[in-house]
Amino acid sequence: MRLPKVFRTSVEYIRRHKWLSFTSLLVMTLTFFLTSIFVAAAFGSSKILKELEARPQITAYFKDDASEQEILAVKAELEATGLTSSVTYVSKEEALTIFMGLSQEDPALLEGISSNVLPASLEVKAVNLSDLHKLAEILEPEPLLEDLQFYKDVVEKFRRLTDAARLLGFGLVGVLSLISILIVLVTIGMTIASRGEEIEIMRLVGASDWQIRGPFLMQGALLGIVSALISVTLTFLLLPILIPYISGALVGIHLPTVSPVFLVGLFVGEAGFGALVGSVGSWIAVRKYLRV
Amino acid sequence: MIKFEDITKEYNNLVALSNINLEIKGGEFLFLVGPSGAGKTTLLKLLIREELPSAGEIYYDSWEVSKLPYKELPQLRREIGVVFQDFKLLPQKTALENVSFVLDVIGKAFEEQEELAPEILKLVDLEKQRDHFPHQLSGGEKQRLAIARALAAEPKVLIADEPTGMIDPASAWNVINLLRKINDLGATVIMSTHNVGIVDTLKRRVVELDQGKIVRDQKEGEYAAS
Repeated sequence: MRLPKVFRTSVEYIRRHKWLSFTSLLVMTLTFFLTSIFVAAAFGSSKILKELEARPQITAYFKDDASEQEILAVKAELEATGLTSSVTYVSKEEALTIFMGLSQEDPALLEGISSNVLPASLEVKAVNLSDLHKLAEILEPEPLLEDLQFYKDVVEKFRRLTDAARLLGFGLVGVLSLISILIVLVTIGMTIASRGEEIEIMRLVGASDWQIRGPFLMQGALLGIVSALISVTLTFLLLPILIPYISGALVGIHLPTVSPVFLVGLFVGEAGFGALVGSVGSWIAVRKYLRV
Repeated sequence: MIKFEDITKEYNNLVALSNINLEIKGGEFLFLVGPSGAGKTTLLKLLIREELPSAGEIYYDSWEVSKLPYKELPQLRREIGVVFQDFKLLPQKTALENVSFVLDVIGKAFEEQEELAPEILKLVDLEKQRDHFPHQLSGGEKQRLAIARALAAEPKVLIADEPTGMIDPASAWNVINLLRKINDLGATVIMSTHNVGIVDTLKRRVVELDQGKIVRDQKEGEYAAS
């Protein structure tokens, strides 16, 4: 059977079983949509985590009267331990530039601010996270030190949060996928069961298994692909609305935008999965009637 | 061309056919007669392997039908067209699609299907009903569609199980003339029937079954034994 004919016939099958097709489509679309959202969330949170991890793990703020030479001496002392992967000196002026960059949209905060208000600091990264405490011990007795901030704790907390969310999300997607696979299988099974007699007749007039199976498989695959398309489109429309809300809550973190590559990848994955479920389901359902 | 050798068919100890030996040559026109339940339909079902014999062998050309691998069944069934007693039309397809399905099965290109299917429907006078589904057709129309479908595949053997059972006498003769035409073109025709007039008029080979046995095999025979 040539492809256009198979395609034509399968579209005919879908049209003549509108409700069953619609049910399959709806269930698959919902599952795919939730999957898309979770995948996007997992993708986004891992980007955020990466960004957080790239930040200095300890920031040491120095008192206003600490001179640059004194701070650089501390920096040299830290580097001498061999435990740091980088130590960056941020002067008062640089701190102001950074602050102004972050607060651009809030001019009220910028009024009356000068470089004197902000402290100079050292941003320290350790080669091994476990060495952070040793580095902190060197810094803590320093009389010029104003404050010490561990980002490690923040990162850890966020990591645990995203891990939990991811686990929950994947669990949910897993369960939903299973449910949707079952519903799709049952739906396809019902469609084909109502046509068991027809399949037997096709055999009796000399149709080969593939001539019978083809349109059913194509029908299943088509429903899978169409539902993937709908769900990815929904995701594409919805994410740009959601992202500003999330970035509002996370100041200073650059949220990844929804890239076309991501959406295409998502579509390919879901369409492949949908086509597979649809066609395998049809295969199994048809097989029962091909014995004649 | 077709040979039944010592064929017995039992359904749950009920003997439908016993020790049937029958040879049919290519190009023959054969009437299968006998009372209801004599085993006519069973015999025809065995030939396309809709059923398997309990004992014996059936040959179609060089194929042993009951031992044919599953994969080669379609090939056999494309060569043997059947007008089923219960029509066996595809319920989800229109009259036209029922015909073009068979055209598709035998490998006709889409354009050819588009062209041939309406012509075949015209042959049985169903061109007005081309978009009707089987459940929208009358008994006689279904029967004519079943015939059209069997013809579509240009079979080497045409089996017609009571093809005139549900149609008026005039249409019945149309059907018979169609079958004769196909026979003239070289196809073997096997037709089971209760229609005395047709059998007596045509004077072809008559095989009479009774209680699962062949009780008469006559060249240029009539419906009833003379």
